[in-house]
Amino acid sequence: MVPIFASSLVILPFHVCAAIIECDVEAPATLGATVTSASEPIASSGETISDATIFLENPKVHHSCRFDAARRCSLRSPATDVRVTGNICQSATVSEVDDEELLQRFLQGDRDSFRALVQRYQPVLLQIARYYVNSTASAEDVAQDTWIAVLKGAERFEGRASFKTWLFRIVANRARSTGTREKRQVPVDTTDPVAGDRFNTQGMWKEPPVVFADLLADTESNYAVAAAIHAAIADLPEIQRSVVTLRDVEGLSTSEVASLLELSEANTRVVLHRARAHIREVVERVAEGGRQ
Amino acid sequence: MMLVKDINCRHAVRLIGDYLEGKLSRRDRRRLEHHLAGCDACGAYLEQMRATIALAGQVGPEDLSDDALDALLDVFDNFQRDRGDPGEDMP
Repeated sequence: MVPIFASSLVILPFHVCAAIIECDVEAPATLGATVTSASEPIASSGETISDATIFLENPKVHHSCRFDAARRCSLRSPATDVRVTGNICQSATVSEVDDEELLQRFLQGDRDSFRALVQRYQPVLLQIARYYVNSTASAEDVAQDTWIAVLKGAERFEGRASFKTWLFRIVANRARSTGTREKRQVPVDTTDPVAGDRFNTQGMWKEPPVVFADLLADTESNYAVAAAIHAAIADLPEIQRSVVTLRDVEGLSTSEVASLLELSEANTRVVLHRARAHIREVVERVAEGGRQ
Repeated sequence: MMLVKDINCRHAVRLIGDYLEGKLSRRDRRRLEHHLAGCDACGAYLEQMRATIALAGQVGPEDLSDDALDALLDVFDNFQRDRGDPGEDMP
């Protein structure tokens, strides 16, 4: 990896949602990455920004990223191996464009707002659809039908639930009615969330787990951690991946997750703990690797 | 004062899943918290789980391929065109 820009400007895509973030971009020299600076940075009062899309001009890639409490973000494109880490360098906080606002804008014909929602939600729509149907192609059809339903129904969206909840219900209902997969049986899970060989015969830890605090504070390892978490989630069995994506990545409540996936809440919690324990284990490996 | 029966680390780890979701019975919660008060290793495990949840919440959605995105933008364009010219076929 060759650092190309010590400090480049990356601009958030929406006019009311723009702030300069300072970035260090590293990419293989052959890619010759350049970073666009699109619109004028406008900062208005409001909450601290938590989501952004970063545009790289060449190679042309868009990234969504979220900023942590320390106002850092870290992301990587697996396709291009372009790596971006950034800090918001302006002290101003900006107002975030929420889903409902994007919905209103695309109703007025704003294509970029529709694009933003698609980039934000298409992967999780595919995930929910895939839970119910038995092929990726069917899941893609269900997801596309969902967006058509959104376009047709957006004017009738009353905002009683959040856009996200509304969207997820549409995709789950459509996928369920496509219903090509047999009803899932949640296996009774009697294994421990942590491998038995971590404990001695008295059931005490042989070696105490490492503390993750340092890992969270270090932007360099955030990049490795984010990549490891992506890989860990992708590696999970379908049911665990669906549950942990909806609960921890999307932030739905356990009961919402249970309802979308037609599981009992108790089963949802068991599956969730299993999935989290797997991700924890992967992160722990990264943390231990960083120490060596 | 009621005596809290001690549990070992392996048992504590099993309880932490429901503990994080606020779904432990009162009795199990007391047992777990009693254990956590005297066990740094399980405290570290709980901290790891909380950090894992926080980290998973920060990773953001996967990247979408250009083809997938273009296909859905076509859906939008077609919809806009149909909506924009509702009277096109009318006499």
